[in-house]
Amino acid sequence: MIIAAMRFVHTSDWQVGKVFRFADDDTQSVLQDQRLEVIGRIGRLARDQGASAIVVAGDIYDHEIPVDRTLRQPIERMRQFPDLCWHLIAGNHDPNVPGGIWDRLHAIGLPDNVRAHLDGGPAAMDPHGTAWVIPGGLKRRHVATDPTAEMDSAETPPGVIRVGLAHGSVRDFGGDEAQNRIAIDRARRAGLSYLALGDWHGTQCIDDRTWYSGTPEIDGFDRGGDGGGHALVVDLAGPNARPEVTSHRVGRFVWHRDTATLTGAQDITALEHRLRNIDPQEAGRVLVWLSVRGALPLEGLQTYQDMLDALGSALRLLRVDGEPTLLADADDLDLFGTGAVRTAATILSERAGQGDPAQRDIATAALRRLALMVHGQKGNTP
Amino acid sequence: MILHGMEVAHLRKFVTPTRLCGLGPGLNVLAARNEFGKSTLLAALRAAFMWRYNSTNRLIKELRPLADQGAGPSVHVDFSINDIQCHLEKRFLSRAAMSLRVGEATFANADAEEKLHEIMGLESQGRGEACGIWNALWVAQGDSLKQPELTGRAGTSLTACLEGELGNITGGAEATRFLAMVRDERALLLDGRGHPKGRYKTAITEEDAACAEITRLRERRRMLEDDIESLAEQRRLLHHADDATRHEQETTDLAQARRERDRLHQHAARLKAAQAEVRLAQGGVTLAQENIASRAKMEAERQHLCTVVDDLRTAMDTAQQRHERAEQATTARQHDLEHAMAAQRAAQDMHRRVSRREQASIWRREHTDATTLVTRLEHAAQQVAQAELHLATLHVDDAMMDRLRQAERAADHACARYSEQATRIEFHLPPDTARQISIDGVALSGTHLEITSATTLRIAGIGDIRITPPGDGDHAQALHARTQTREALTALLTQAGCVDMAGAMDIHAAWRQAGRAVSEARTMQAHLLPTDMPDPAAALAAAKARVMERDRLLASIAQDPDAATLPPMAEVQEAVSAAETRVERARAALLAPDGEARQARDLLTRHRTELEQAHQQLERLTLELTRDRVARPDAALATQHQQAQATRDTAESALRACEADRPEEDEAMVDARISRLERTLEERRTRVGELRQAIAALSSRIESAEGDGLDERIAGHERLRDGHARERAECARQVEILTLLADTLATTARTATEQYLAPLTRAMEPALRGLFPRAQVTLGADFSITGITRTTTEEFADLSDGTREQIAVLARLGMADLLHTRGQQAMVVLDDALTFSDSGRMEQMFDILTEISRRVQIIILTCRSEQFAGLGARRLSVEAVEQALPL
Repeated sequence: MIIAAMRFVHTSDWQVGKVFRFADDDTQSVLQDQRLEVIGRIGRLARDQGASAIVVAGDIYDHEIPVDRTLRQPIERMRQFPDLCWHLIAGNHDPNVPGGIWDRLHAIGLPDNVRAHLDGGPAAMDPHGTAWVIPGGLKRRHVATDPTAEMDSAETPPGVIRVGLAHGSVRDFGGDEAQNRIAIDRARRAGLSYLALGDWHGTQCIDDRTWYSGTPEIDGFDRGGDGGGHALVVDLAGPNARPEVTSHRVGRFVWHRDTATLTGAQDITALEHRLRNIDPQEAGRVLVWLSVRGALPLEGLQTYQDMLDALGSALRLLRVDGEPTLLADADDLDLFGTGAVRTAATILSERAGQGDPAQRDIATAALRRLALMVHGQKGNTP
Repeated sequence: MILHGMEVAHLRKFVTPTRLCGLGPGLNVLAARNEFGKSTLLAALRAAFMWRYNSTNRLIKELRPLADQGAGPSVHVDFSINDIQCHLEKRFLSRAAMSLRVGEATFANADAEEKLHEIMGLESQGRGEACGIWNALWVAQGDSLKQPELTGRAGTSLTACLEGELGNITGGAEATRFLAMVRDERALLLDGRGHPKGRYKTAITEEDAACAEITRLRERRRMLEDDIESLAEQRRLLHHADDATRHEQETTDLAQARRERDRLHQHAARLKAAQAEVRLAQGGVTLAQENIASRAKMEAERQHLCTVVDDLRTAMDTAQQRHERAEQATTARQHDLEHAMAAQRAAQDMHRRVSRREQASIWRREHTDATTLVTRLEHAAQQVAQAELHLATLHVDDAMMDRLRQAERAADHACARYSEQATRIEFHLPPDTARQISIDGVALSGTHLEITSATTLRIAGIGDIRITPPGDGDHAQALHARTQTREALTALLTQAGCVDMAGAMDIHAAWRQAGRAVSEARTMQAHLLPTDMPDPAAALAAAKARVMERDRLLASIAQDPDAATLPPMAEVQEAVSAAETRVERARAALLAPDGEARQARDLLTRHRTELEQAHQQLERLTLELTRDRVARPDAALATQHQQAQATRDTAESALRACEADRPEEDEAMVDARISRLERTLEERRTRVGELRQAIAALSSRIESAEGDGLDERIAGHERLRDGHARERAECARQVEILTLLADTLATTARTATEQYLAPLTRAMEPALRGLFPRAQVTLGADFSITGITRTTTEEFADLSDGTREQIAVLARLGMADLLHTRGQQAMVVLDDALTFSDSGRMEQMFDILTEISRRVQIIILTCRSEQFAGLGARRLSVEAVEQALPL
């Protein structure tokens, strides 16, 4: 009996065509573009690692009905690697429904090195038949049954490596109804050498033989695991051998979420230092979602605003929730001088400290605006 | 500031150098007629202080004299500020230049302009013009109704002055400035009516558009899902419809049904052939029977024709005898008729002769009657002529008689009138006595006497009494009338051919008698006339013509010598009638035998014809029968009949055998089955075609929709929608922030304004209350008077022209007084102001002007010298200057 080994790359959740609602047009374009570019990086990773096959565990596309260009783009990227065989299954974002996206791909015609496993039947992963892929793709967006259930009875030639390829969740996250639920011990039950899963966007190891690769390009600030950005290289010495799994970073962007409470100049400096050091070499690939609160004096507000302007230009994206209020003590009000403007500032300061939060927010912003006007006038005064 | 003097040259109507003389502190009045140039002097003062010397503004060009557009207007002003003597000279347009001397210091051109702005508190505002408080204090003609405009430096200086009163800066101006900035910023997001504009409006519009597009795309997405479901259903139906096994089974069934139908058709053909054989054999039998029957019929017909020929011959003999008898009777009656007709002609001849005799008798009688009528008519005409001739001799007709009577009545009336004029003497004397008295020689008689002319009354033995009636006009007139009427009567009588009225009445009676005679004669004549001919002459002529006509007719009748012997007319007529009756009878007797003969002749002819025809038919039938028997004897016909019957029996046997062999299937049922199967197959083919077409259409539509990438486009538009929603929310928040900031600043600015306006209000109130007791004014932030409160608060714009003008002047005086009090420069010029004030108000205004002029110089330019004479002001004059102005 010949014992064969197999090395392949496990990836999933490319979600090509994904729309980022919070992003401006430029950022949106770049983020979408990188979801295609990462395919090339995965292909190059496979070549570099000596892998001959890549399994993609569903959600190649983000939409069930993408435009033709979006439909063709990942196919064309994979076509550029004729030495690699790409094994695809349908996910919940791109289920194999009648007349759906996979029928369109079938009509277009897939390259020889791209194989869509849609019928659930096992198929050889390589020309030698060393390993067989047992697909568990989705035929609808949500299924109530386990998409991997038939893997237990899937017949493959004896002695081959059985690689399960499925899309779903091994855990219930508290929803009313478990959907696309996969038995957590499916690898053991089905005698799989490795179960390559997709759906979770962060890389997760469920057990020795069961892994979520996560999305290769991070697409949000709140993702599980490490948030994604990786692809897995799987080494199987034999059908029963323990898989050797190594994670490789293929993503481009760094998504960072932060919070800050600003009460003085030192807080502003610390925040700026922190954000600039997320990727000091290439801040342009960093996306930051910052939640801010606190209170600053008039000069501090100006400093804070200057810092935001600078970081907004340096980072790929700076999304800010909240803002520091103006310190409303007598010393700060003195900045408004005497007379009517000072009186107006006093009124706004009082309103900023009482009433419902929305009104307080408006009053705070108005006070801040007035302070900036006074400051600007003084700044312009020779 | 005090203005001490001003000279102008080449400035509108002041072409030659002219000086305003008499200026000094306090109240100054230049009273001069219209078109004198007062407003020009104020314009020159404004130009000197407010316009740059090198300005070429239209207002500066308008200062040039009309007669010399190339000249440069020049102004020299002597004034003092804070007791420092100053001299200002400006020349505009041509060789523009300026100099300013302040105390001992002298400045030229730009330096002079800058120094002037400094000491006067002026601020450049572009286009060569400066502004300052002076714009408000120097009131041009027609501007006194308007409130002073205090913008820029003027407002600032006044504000600073007012804030100085409070001892600190209110910040009102700064707040107002910030307020303006905030409002400007808000104006980028909201229009004047508070509706979104700019990026705010764009965000809303784009968000709405994105939402609409999302809705449209989702609807397309729903339709696509429907299409996909329909496609699956159509494919399922196609799979069902396109079942090859069912199709094959139905095709086999159809073929079997068609074979069954062919078998049924073949049997039907055989049956039809057998039936035809039976019908053919039966036809042979029938033909043989018909041949036999035909021969028997011909034989019977020949026998019948022989009988008919015999009968016809008998009838011909009878008819011949009858015809001969009828001919003889006819000849006898013709003789009778000829005799009767001869007798009739003789009777008719006699009747004509008797008729002529009777006619001649009538004509003679008519001739006699006509002759008698002619005689009578001629006599009547003669009678009428005689009566008319007598009437013509009498001249007193009714008209003449009426005229005579009228003339008589007129004469009687004139006599009566004349008698009334006479002197009446009545007397009753014994007859003896009366005889002794005479009147104009005539013895007195009667009982009275009327004297109409001088009359002598003689009493015998006594003497004469002369009586003379009054000789007046009435008496003569009555006498004249009586004479005339009597003459007229006499003339008429003469005309009538009589001497007095009695004669006239006699003649008139004779005239009436003669008239009746004429009338009677005419009546007699009229009785003779025919009704249709009233003219007597014509009637006479007609009667004569009738006589002549009868003469001619009588002459035309030949004389019959036997006329007298001829029988009477009645007898002749009876003879004629008898003859005619006899002829009629003879004719009637002739007709009866003639009819019999004709009938007999016709009957004979008809029998002859019928006999000939019967002969011909008999011969033809006999010949035909003979030939037929020769061709086919009676025995042959019988043999043929027997053979035909045998053939028919054979065919009927074959038909029965075929009917016994009929298949059990019903052809209609087989046809129905074939139709059903054919329809099923055809419907399946059609259904499959339709389904394939529908699937193709759905596939195409789905492919198109999927090609559009609905999900991706929906997500893209949702991203756009979210972005626009964020932008809209941000704009709304900014609007809320700016509105709050603006409201807060407006409130504090208004409070500050109210604070620094209080001194100005207080400064104005003394002068104001001099005019309007217990009145209070309300000022706006721009120092304009917004209203006045007396018993009630009134808007400034709602006040009368006079009150508005007075308040506007008082406001300027109050400002000037306030500025002076705060050490600022102030001087008031009023050009043709207070034109709407009544005399009472004017006196009060004079008092106010006098009071304020103690501190501030006031110059009044007016055309109403008498009204301002009581002001007690300096009288200004305008004088020509000999030497030309330098500069």
